[in-house]
Amino acid sequence: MNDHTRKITKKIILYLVSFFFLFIFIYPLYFVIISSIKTNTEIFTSPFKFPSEFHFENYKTAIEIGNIGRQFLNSMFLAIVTLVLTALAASMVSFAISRLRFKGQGAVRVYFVMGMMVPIQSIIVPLAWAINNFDIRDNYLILILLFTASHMPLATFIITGSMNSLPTSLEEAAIIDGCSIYKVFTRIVLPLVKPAIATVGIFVFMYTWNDLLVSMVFIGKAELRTISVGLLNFVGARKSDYGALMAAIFIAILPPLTMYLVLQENVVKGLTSGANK
Amino acid sequence: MSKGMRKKIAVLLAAVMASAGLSACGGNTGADGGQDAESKTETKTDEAKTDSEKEGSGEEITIRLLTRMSGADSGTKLKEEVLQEFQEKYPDITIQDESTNDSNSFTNQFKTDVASGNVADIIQWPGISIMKEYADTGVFLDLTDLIAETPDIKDNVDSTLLDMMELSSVGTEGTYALPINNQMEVFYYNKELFQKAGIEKAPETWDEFYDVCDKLKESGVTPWVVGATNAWRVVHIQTGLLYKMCGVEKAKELGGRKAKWTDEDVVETIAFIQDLADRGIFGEDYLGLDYETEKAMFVSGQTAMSFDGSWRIAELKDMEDNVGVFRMPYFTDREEFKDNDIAYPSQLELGGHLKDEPEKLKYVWELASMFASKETQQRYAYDCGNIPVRNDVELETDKMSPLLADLLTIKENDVKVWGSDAWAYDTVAVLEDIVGEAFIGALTGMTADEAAEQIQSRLEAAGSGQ
Amino acid sequence: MERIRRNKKAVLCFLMPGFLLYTVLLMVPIGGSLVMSFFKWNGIKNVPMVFVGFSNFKAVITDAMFWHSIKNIMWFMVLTLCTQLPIGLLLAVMLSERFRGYRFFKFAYFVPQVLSTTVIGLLWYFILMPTGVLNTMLQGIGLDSLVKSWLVDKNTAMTTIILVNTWCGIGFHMTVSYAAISGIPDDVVEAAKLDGAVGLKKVFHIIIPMIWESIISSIVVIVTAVLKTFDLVYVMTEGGPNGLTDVPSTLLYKEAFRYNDFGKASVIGVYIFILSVIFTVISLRITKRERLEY
Repeated sequence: MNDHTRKITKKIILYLVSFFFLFIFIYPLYFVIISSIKTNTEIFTSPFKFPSEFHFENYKTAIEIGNIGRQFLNSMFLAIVTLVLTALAASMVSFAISRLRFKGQGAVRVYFVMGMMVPIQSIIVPLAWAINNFDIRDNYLILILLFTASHMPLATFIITGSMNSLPTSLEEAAIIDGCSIYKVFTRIVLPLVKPAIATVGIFVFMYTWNDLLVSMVFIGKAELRTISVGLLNFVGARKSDYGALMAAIFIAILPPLTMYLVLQENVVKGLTSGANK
Repeated sequence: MSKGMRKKIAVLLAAVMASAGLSACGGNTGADGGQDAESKTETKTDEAKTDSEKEGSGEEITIRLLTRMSGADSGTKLKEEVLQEFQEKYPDITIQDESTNDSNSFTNQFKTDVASGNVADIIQWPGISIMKEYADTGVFLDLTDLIAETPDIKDNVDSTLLDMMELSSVGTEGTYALPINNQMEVFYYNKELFQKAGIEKAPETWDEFYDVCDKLKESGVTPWVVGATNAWRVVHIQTGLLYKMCGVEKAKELGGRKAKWTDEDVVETIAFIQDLADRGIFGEDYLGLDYETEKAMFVSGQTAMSFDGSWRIAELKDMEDNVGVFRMPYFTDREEFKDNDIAYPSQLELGGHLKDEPEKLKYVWELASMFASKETQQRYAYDCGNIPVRNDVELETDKMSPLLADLLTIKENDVKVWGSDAWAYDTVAVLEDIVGEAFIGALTGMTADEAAEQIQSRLEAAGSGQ
Repeated sequence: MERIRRNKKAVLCFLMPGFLLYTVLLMVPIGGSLVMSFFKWNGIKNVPMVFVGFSNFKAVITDAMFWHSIKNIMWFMVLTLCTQLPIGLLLAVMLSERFRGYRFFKFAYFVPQVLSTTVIGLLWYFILMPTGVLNTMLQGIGLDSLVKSWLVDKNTAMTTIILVNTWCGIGFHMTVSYAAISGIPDDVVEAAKLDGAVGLKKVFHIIIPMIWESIISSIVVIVTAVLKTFDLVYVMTEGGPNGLTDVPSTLLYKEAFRYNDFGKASVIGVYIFILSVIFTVISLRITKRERLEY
């Protein structure tokens, strides 16, 4: 086989395999979308066909009966507030670790990173006890603080790493000029670690949006449910209403999907930053 | 502090306040609990107010309901009408309906309410002896006095049902629930498919049943699909078999711990189900199908029989002319149990916390009793195919589903001994899950003995800490 | 200047909020979990916790279901390591060829990662139903014999769930590996080409050694993430039927919220934590060593 043929064969194989995997990864999504605008009988009789008529009642069912709209807002609220709080708290801690001097600094750093090894399931039982004892069920404030605490390790790790790689010259100049340490934080360091903060923001948003276990245990009232829990309950009660199910799923994946479409680079960086231990 | 720093702290405080505000208006249980305590002390110290309150000048009363009557449940519309009637009578009372149809969400909601000490005011919790745990810990209210003071209930609600709700037999004095529905469990069958398969009459014995299944299989229809992913489908079958093989007494013995799940006759029931599966009576994929799919298959004629409660009648309205009913077949060598059968009462309990809120309790009891009123019971029969819990309800045959008429005839003539879910006679509430898992285990590879062993050992482990 | 950095007030101001939050809501509960393992409690508010010493630990260690869940999670780890990483690597290698449209494929392959595991679980549950899409497809192309109840059959249930998890995770490893491959200096690639290392040889002798650190990193991620798996299993099978597909976290959930044995659940939580620490430390040790050698 000469070189040219080899090159073409290679290209063909590459494309074949690529399309094969494209099918495997994207087809389920395509399936969700077309099923969500079909009627239930259509979904069973002709599952693969692209629908000729679009039925949007499924979305109506999902929103009205499944209350997906309300849950969407709940999740959005929780995710955004947690994001802000985490970014704030983590940057402050990172600044202390990275720029300030105090006894036991190294130990503090390790202390925070240690948290990355704590799986959230291990604290579910004491969590349930606390909910019981302090009557904090359905309390969004505590829930947000809890989410923030669970993301502190990774957030701190990322932002500290970013701060450490910043040259201190700018800060030193500012201090000589009479800047207070607080101003140094807000005016100089913070703007420079914006990319790291963006990364943190994205992964905190995604993980909070997608959370299931903590939301399940913590929230009881139907109006306060998050979208993951709501989706599960909705499906449980309407297992045979596949059209509505698909519509609900589609609504649930819309924000993360949109985020990905628009902010590709950042999303990828955010989610893969977990690898950079 | 710099301006920027101040801004950030302001944002933080705003966020914190906003979320606290949200949880407060979301009416989080923490705040509510606090309010209740406050209002309690207020009413105690402020005697002067009570007179005006009695005139219904709207002290803040919220009644919370946690029932199964929601969404697709047949009783939903009726419940809503009852609630509306109550609301019109008492416009100042707020009704918070947290009902959900899905059994998982319902159980989760109830259990977590119990764990946080914040149970609803009216709960539709199933089970008989399993109420004991909740009766003892004050989760459910003792209704004995209330019933005694309400002649309409005391005199007209079927005493056998009221007795079921009395727990002296398991060591707790008092009646802890108000029955509002009664259900039977029977085989519904598709008359057309039976005809096509050449079956002339509904089977009465198990041998006849096997015959029927063979004929159905020959005609290309899955005889009896069971949606096994919902384990309770199989649990119901086992209860029925237990009563036909060993009688309702056996369930009571199991519940009173005089008998064990590993007893030979109980193991036989499990083996019998395995045998049904092995004969292909349930079809091929039944393990992966759920209740909803099973029902859909019955409606579309893919399966000819479905063993279900009388709550199904309302859903079969469109095909009721083509559906017949027959009781679970009896064993020719155990004819003495021929007249034993299943009845599932459905009931309402009141939250134990109402003991300290006599004012509110009056309203809550009134609302609960409305579900057992003559009018409501009549409508339950007509609209939902439920069997009335009262003895004074007259029903006209042409106003109800023919299926219900059949059931009432059966109830009158063929059944003498009634039993509820077999697991409900035990005080360990989680037995329901334990048996469910074990039966599914028996259908997915365990032997009947192993399944029985699993039930018994888990039951003993669960009971030891109570 | 150093004085400013040592300013105690500043240190407290910056450190305290995050520190308090983290300690009270994450670290204290872990201790609480350990403490609760020594008690028996059924979750009802008015019922007191009873001290039972080590009996919960004993109960868990002698529970066949616990060991079954450990077996499941180990299989989970092994299968994931053997599929998720290699396929991710394969795709990364292919994409690094930069053929026309590669950016589109790269974008698409990452999509499953942005979906929540709840959604993925529900979606695949639907596809894998006995009367669902996968079986219909198999029947359509004549492979009737392969039709199964995927999530219920003893032989396929756990593996099926693991493969769904793989489907979700490939995009992650592909991205990470791709970034690492892009980081290989061009002159190394050129030199290799001159030496005649092309195709498969290139992959094994050049690429893999050069991105070894990234591969180790992926392994660490897989190992630590698998131990925490809850959502996917819970949504698809709830650990059933009858505990067939249980993993330690679903077992924990069941013990606490279904069987109302919070003490026993706590013990499982402690075990999960210990396993997590062990595996993290081991994998970090290995990573460090590799770095030094590098």
